[in-house]
Parts: sequence; C-alpha cells; structure tokens
Amino acid sequence: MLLERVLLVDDEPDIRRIGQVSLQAVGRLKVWLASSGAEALELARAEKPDAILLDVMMPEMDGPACLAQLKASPETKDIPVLFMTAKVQTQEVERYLSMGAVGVIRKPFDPMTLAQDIRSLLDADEQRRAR
Amino acid sequence: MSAAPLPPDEEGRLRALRRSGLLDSAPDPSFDDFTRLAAFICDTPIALVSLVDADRQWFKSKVGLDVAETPRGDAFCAHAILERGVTMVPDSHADPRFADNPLVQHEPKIRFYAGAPLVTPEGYALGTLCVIDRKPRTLEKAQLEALQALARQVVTYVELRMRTGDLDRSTRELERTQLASRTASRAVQSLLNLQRAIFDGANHAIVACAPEGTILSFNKAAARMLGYEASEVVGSASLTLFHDPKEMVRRARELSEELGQPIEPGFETFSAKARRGVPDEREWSLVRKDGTSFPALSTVTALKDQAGQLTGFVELAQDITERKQVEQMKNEFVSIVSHELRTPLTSIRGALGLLEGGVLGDLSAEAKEMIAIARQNSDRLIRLINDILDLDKIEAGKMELVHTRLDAGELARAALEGIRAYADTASVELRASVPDKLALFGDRDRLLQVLTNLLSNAIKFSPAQGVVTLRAEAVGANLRFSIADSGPGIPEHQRNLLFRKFQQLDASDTRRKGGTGLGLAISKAIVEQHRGRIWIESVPGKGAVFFFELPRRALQQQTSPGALPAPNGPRVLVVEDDIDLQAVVLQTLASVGFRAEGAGSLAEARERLQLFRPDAVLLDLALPDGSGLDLLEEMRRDPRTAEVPVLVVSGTQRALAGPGGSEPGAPQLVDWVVKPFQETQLVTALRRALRREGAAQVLLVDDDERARELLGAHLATLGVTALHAPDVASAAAMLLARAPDLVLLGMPEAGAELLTALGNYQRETGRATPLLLYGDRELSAEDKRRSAPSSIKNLPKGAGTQEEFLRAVRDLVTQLEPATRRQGP
Repeated sequence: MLLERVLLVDDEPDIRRIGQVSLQAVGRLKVWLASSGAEALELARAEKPDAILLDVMMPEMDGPACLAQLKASPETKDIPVLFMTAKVQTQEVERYLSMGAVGVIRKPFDPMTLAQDIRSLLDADEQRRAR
Repeated sequence: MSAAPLPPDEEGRLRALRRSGLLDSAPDPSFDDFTRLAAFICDTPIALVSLVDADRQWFKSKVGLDVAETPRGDAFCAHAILERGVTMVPDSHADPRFADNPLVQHEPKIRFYAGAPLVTPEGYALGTLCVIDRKPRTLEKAQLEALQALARQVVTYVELRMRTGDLDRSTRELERTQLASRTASRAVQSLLNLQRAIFDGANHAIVACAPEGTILSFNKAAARMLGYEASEVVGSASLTLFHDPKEMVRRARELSEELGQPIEPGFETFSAKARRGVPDEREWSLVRKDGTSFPALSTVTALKDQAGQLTGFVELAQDITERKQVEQMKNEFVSIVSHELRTPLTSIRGALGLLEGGVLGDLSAEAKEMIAIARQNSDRLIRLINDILDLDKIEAGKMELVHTRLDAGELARAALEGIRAYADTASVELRASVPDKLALFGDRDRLLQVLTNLLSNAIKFSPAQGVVTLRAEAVGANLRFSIADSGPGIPEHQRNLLFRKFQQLDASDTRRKGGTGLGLAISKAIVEQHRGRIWIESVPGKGAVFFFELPRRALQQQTSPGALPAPNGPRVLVVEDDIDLQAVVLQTLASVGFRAEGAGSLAEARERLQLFRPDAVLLDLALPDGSGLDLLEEMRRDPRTAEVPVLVVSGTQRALAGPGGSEPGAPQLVDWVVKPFQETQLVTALRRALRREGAAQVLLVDDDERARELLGAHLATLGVTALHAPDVASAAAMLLARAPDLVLLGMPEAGAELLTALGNYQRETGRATPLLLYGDRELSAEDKRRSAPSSIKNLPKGAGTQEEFLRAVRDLVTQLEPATRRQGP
C-alpha cells in the first residue's frame, strides 16, 4: 500500500520529536503528532492517516483502549494501527495482534529504518489478508 | 658328623613352638627345678631344657652349662626330637653321628647324652629334657623312665603356663573392652544430646517418618511453623498432612513424567526421588493446622541402616516467606527500573541514530566517530536491559512458554540464518548436521533464543577461519542439540561458573567481546523451563561443545488462569495418529476442563464414537487406515452422531466447499485448524464448537454508564456482544434471559449480592458462569468460598493498571471466542 501520511501517538515529547524527524527526514512521510489517546482519536477522524503508530503505555487512555475506540468507529476502523511498545515478550506481541493491530514496533526503535519497518509490517499484513 | 634330618611335621612343630611363647623368654625357676631334678636322678653334671628352633637350639633352663644356645646342626637334641622315646648316646666317640661334633671335640666335651622329647598333646616335639656327661656311661631303666616322666611334666607345665597366659590376656582384653564401651557410650550420649539440641534448636522444621509415611519425630521448629504439637502428629499422621493436595497432584504429574513411571499423589510424591537415592529439594506451600499456608524450601532424604535397608525419611523444611517477599520486591524493582530505563533510551538511541545517519547534515569524521561510539554503547545498554528483563521474567516464573510442535531442522535453519551475517563478519564457517523429521514440543522463540545465544558465543570465541558446527539428534526420549566451536576451550573448573549471571571467563571479555554476560544464564533458564538440561564438554585448546537436551514431549503449562473447572466437562474425542501430538492435545484439553480420549485410527475412532459418545470430535484427516473425511461422511449418515460438531485439524488448508453443517443432518464441521497450531487456538475453537450459539456474550454490571460503554466498545473489537446491567436486579434478569458466558462486575460492594444471584442461577440452570471482579476491594474468603464452583477472578483497582485489567478481560474472552485474525478462512 502507499504510505504517505502517518499519525504518531506517544505521551513522551522526546519520542514524538524523534519519531517525527525520523519519519519526515528519513521516511519522507507527512506526520501528525498526538500526545494522548483522545487527541489521537480526534486527529484520526479529521485527517484519515494511512497508518497510526500508537504507543501502548499512556496515561488515561492506553494504546489498546484507543485501538478499541478506533475500531468502534466506522470512520476510523479501517486505518491500520501499529503498536509501539517497550515490552519484549512474544506473548504480549501476539496479544496486541489479536486485538487488531497489524504490527508491533519495539522500542527502542532504529530511527534510520522506522519508516521502512512500518512499510514492511503493512505489506506483510496486506499479504496475509490477500491469502 | 651328620646333621639330623628335619622331622616330617617341622612346619607345624615350629608354629607350636612359637605359640608356646617359650623361646627367648625370661628365666623361670620352675624349669630350673626340672633340670636340677633330672641331673640329680641321672647323676650327670649337665641337664638342659633345650628347645629346637629353626636353626638353633635354645636352652630354656640349664644346669652345669653356660651357653644360651648352639647351632641346630651340632645339636644332639635335633636327633632326639625325631624319636618319641629317650635317645641315648653312651659314648659319643664311638658314635659316627657325633664323633667329630664340635660339642664333642671342644667344650663341653660331650661323651654321654640322653634326651627325652617334649611332646605336646598335638604330637609336636618342641625340644628335649636332656642330661649330659663328660665320660661314657649309661642309664638305668628306672632313670630312663624318670627322665621320660619328667619330660612329660615339663610339657604339662608348658601347657598350663600357656593357658594361664591366655586367661591373662582375655582378662586384660575384657577390661580394655569395658573401658572402651564406657567411653563410647559417653560419646554416644553426648552425640545424642548434640543431635537433640540441633533437632530442637534448629530453625528448620525436621520431621522424620517411617518408610510408609507415619511421622516418627517432629521437632520444635516444626511445631512452631505448622501449629501442631508433636503429640498430635507423632505415630498417627502422615507427612502429607502438611501439604497442599493440589500441589501434590501437580508434582505427582511432573514426577511421573520425569521418572517415566506413574507416581501417585500422596506420600509417594515426596518420597519417590529420595527413595531412588536423590535428595529431593524443592519449594512447597506447607499448610498449617489453621489452614493457612506459607512457602517453604524442603528437602526429603531417605534414611537407611548399615545394611542399606530403608528405615524411613526425613523432611527438612525452612520457612521462606521473607525470602519470597524480598524476591518479589526485587523482581518488581527490576521490572519497573528496566521499563523506566527504556523510555529515555529510546530517545537517546533515536537522536544518536539520526545524527549518525547523516539525516541532519554532514558531520566531521571525528564527530561521526564519537556519535558512533555513543550509539553502539546505547545499543549495548539496551541489550543488557533486555537480557536482565528476560532473566527476571524467567526467574520470577512469569515467562509463559508457548508450546507448539516444532521441527528440529527448521529450528536449526532459522537459528543459522539469523546468525549468518555475524558469522560472515567474523569469518567463521557454519556447519549443520540435523536429521529430517525430528519433532519436539517447545516454545519456538525461546528455543531459537537459546540456539542463537550458543551459536553467537561459539562464533565469538572461534578464530577467523574457524568452524562452528550445530548438531541435533534424538537421544532416547530426548532431543539433544550440540554446538561445537574451534575456540580456546574451557577449563573444567570454569564450566559451571559460565552459566551464572554476569560470568565470563575473563572479565575483560565482556568488553572485548561485547556480550552482556547473561546469555548463558538465560539459555540455562530457558532450557530448564523446558525441563531439559545444558552442559559443556571441552578439551582446553581444542574448542568447546555446548549441549542441551530437551524432552521431546514437553510438559504442558498448568491450567491457564481463568480456566473453568469442569469435573464433568464436555467429552472430546481426539482422532490423531501422531502419538506425541495426541498426547499433548489430550493433556491440553484435560488441563482446561475437557474429558478427552484419543483414537489413533479410523477403526479406533468408530469404536470410540459408539462407546465414548463424545460431545465434539477433533479430527485429523490423514489417518493410517483412510481419510478423516470418510469418518465425517459416516458420522453424517448416523443419526446418533449427525449432530456432533467436528473440528478438523489438518496439515493443509480447508479443501471442502462450504461448511459441512449446511447440509441437513450433517455433522457440523465447525472449524478447520491448520497445523502447526497453538494449543490455545485449538481450545478456543473447540469451546466455540461446543457453544454453538453464536458470538460470546459478556454481561457488564456497573452503575457507571461511561465505564460500561468504554468496555463495551473494547469488547466489540473482539467480536463479543456486551450486555449491560446497571444493578444486580437487572443483572439477575439478564442472566436468565440471555445466559451470558462471562460476567464483569465493576461494583465490588455488590459482589456478595451478585454471587448469590449467580449461585441461584447455577442451581436453576446448571450453568456455572465465571465472574471477573474489578474494583478497589478484595472479595472476602467467605465470598470466594460461596462462589464455588464458578470461577472467579479479582482485580483490585489500585493494584493493576488499566492495561492489566483489559488484558485479563481479553484473556477470559479469548477463551470464549476465537481471535478473529488467526483462524482459517
């Protein structure tokens, strides 16, 4: 799929900034930033990004709760969501996938390959769907 | 002259002579009496008691002569002992045997000799009683008889003397023994006192029991820890009294697997290993008299007598509550710190990566170098945190293994593929020898982690142009992997150290080789969690070989949290010809409350269908005596089995057109699971097959409408229908009207009331509905007891994050409804 517009959701300002620079400068993507789940829902509805990169651990509304809301709304339910997590357990990754995320980006990520990693995960998901 | 020949019994005679204790003994006046008497009777100047030794004659008593001994070759007596009567030489000058004898030629110038042998009761002639004169002469008959009589008296005296000596010795011996035993009994007593002091003063509970388990002794610490008095348990109770029955059942199952023979839950569970000579050390929850329990580290050892006969067992137990609490705190600390560290590291690593990548403009060569150093070290820090987290999870028992059927060849190829780039950089050649079709059960990612770790170590320590070889082979019921390197090898005393945390042979290695020092500790933990073992063989200078061995049939995890206990659970027939796979599936199903039976062929399956009457069938298609599809056809024709849901388990994707259930009267082909599958996936599909009434329904009981809606939206993503109830009265009505699969309660204060409603509902309908409770108050023990047998989970609000709560909901729901993404078409 064509990936041009990404919404990055993280409560840590530094990580938002680094993600932004990485996705813009290396990945040549248009990037929106959200610092909370609520903000993410608003931006997702307004901007319809090609993909959402969603931090798992956030105060108030965490990643899975935000994902549930995105999936519950017809406007946003088709936007592919990728989780970003500092957790490393395979089971956790499996669980995120079973919630409807199309992939998981592990923190710390490599800013030089972040956009490419997102593209690979989206492609892999598309192939799975095609089968 | 001629020396006397040796008597035929010379050897025995010499022994008897030694035994007499006469040779070289101190002068004895009794013997002198005999010689004086002999000289007087025979009227000779010389009389002797002569003992004929191996090469001399020694005079025990002598009259008229001043030598102690003479050579045996010259001795007249050596001749005399050959006879049993008196030997008489009237004139030595006229006797060719003695004419040139030095004792004849020189002093004492013997002309006349008469010797009577000293013959013991056993018949040995020890020597003679003899008389000697310096002129030729002879003895009267009476004198001869007297000489013989005197000789007999000498022997009698010798015998008497010997017995007295024996008696003396016995007496002395007896006295010594008595003394020793007095000393010993004092020692034994003090040892017993010491033991008693240790026994009662110890901080360990010490309980000794008979071979069949009856308690024989019970120390003070045991009384203190367990709340029983010794008098209440000694002689009447068994060791099993202090153990949790559920834990015993679990342990019995593990032991049966480990020892390869059935071990009954009960006393055998504790004694089985000790009985086999292995002290059994492990953690148990011990149960006090009041029903409360505490964690204990206990060792059971067999007691044996000197003949090696089993006389009983002794259990040594230590209360480790405090240690556990500290461990728990440490684990939480490690986990929190590690997570907190990762967030700033993500920023650091990211910023450095962008700079190093030149995205933000070119840097000078030196600046680039500095940035690279910083980036590499932040990578190392990340690896270290990952490893610490891993190890912490494993050690805290929080790492759940996902057991699936694996192929050793595939696993090896994946590991080699992942490490190839590293091997190329190090110019090390990778070789593999892994046979085809070697299956095992285990956690793929974790075993891959072990292989990668060991391979990476092997490459790390191999010289350029070295070779690293990965092998796999079946060894009995186990699968053995080995990774051989061509490095410097590992000295024997360091081999076990290597598996400890932060251990590398040379501390500088950590920095030079870039490792974290945790890889082997993690590998060991993973292998041990698979109930396997890991070890090293090495010839220093010739490389090292790391081995690890896993049971090919790994034991299943315990019943997952939230599983519904169902002693009368649904019956499931598992038709699968792969015995290993069948066993694992049966065990999995049993562990989550199904009653499962296996069939390995179509014929067997037909028989089980009639006799076992399953509620559902798991069907493998490729069977030795035909296709599973034939069985499906047969079932559809038979009205007794036409309604039974069938879950096809196949190595290929679904080949049938449309679900079988669409035809009238057909068995419901409800799902199609593709191998290899995960057990949870199978169980989920099976649960859905058995429910047959559409999507799972979850009843949300909460007076906070917003909370219900949020949760409902979340559940919707899992394909679950949410039913809403703002209070217990409407919840009770909803239970009867909609029969939900799970109840979620957000008002703990209503817990007791809702439990009563659930209990009533269960009595009326026979349906046990699990309840998940969240809120800021734990249920009381009384409430929990009343809730049986429906399962209940309690998530205190303060203790868990929202994410944890949602995870628990998801886990429970996943068991009700298959995850939509992972199923077949």
